[in-house]
Amino acid sequence: MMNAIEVKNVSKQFKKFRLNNISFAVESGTIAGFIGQNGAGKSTTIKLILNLLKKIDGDILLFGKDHIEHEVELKAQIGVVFDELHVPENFTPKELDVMYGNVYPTWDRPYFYQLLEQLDVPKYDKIKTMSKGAKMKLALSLALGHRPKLLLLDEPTSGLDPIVRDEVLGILQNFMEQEDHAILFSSHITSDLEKIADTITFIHDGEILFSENKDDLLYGYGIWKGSYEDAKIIPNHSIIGKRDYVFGVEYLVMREFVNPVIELQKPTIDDLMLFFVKGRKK
Amino acid sequence: MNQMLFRFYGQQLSAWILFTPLVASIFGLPLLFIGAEAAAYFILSISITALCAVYLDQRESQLVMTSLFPISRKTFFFVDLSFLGRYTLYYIIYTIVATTAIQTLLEKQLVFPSVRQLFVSFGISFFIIAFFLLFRRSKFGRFMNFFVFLIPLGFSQLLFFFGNLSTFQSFILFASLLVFFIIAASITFFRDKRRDII
Repeated sequence: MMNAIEVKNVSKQFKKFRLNNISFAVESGTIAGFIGQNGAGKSTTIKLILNLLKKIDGDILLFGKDHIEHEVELKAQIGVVFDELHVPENFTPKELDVMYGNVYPTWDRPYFYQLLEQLDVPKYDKIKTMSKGAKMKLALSLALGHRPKLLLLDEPTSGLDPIVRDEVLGILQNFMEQEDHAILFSSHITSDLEKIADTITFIHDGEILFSENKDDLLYGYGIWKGSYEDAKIIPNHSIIGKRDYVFGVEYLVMREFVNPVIELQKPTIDDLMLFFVKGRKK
Repeated sequence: MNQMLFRFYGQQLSAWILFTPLVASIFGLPLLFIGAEAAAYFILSISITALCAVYLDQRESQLVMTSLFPISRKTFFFVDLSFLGRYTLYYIIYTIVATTAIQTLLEKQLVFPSVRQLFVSFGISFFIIAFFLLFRRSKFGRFMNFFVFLIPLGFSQLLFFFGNLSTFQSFILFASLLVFFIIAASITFFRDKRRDII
């Protein structure tokens, strides 16, 4: 399968932050979860992919094409949702429909209205009067209205209630019914990613710590919990991260190096984040 | 595409585009006692200042949205120039027609606008547009209020100076400000290509 996104050795320098030589890929037909702390570089990476920010080094390919050389052509195939809705606040969805219809050659008006109805977004209300949830659902409808092949979502579910989040995830799953579609989904809400992501890319302090298949991550790693004395049964080379707690110690270990008779818990994405950031073995 | 963008920005800024020259004309009335040309430069400079400030402010505030559109930056750059250029031309025509009408009424015979006035009007326009292009990131639109009418008053001596130029001097002024405008537009174009949109 072709890669929808290929980020190769990309760097970007700000005054107090550097995105350092990051590389990862998102295959067509998959949803890639993009996780990391605030300020780790998630939004920067998405903006670099969109050429909103200019990289200082590296290559970014979208559907095998350079993202700057084929910028106009590629942007027609990308839908974007940021954590804020970047459209004129005094517009209504109906007016936005007219504008987007003029901008995107593939704008699908009936589909856009279908999405608005499905997500219960008022068509005639000005955007400034809408709730955050309604704005986010409108952003998603706008991003999907031109039938893109790639969705870049930057914290689209942050600040939304669980019901709206579930609706949004449902729409994304429908979007993925086409096998050449792909999503890069950055979120703090790792439970959303556990539900729908196929791969997880973890960025920390401007560096990619891992970019792997979600199941490989969740089943390839395990959490061992026990006293310091019992901890001797865990081979040192299997330990990825360590966390102390009141009754002993917790290890994130690679299952393949641990005796299968030792009971390990399945980690969550949150656990992986915590161990990789705070409990990394020095 | 260009027409759509024109319509879009035109609709958004229609009140400013229409009413600024009218309000400026009211403020410029006292200058008629000094000379119709000075009044014309006053109206023109206010109108173009307001146009540039609100248009470029609008463009800046919607930059994320427009940067996601499948439209090249070159297209947007030409839309910017032609939008500002088109309305500037309307304003120049408006001030020249108004000057002609008022002078004709005052002198009771048809007085055509001078070539000097044309050169100076275009020169002023080039200067103001070039200034705003160079400083477009400053988002001057938020400072747009009635105080904008006081700005040209601060330069009132300059307005009289323009009125006293010879045709040749006004041509030199026009040519040098045209060069300044071309330089400013080129800098803006290349700077925008490398610009980070945050």
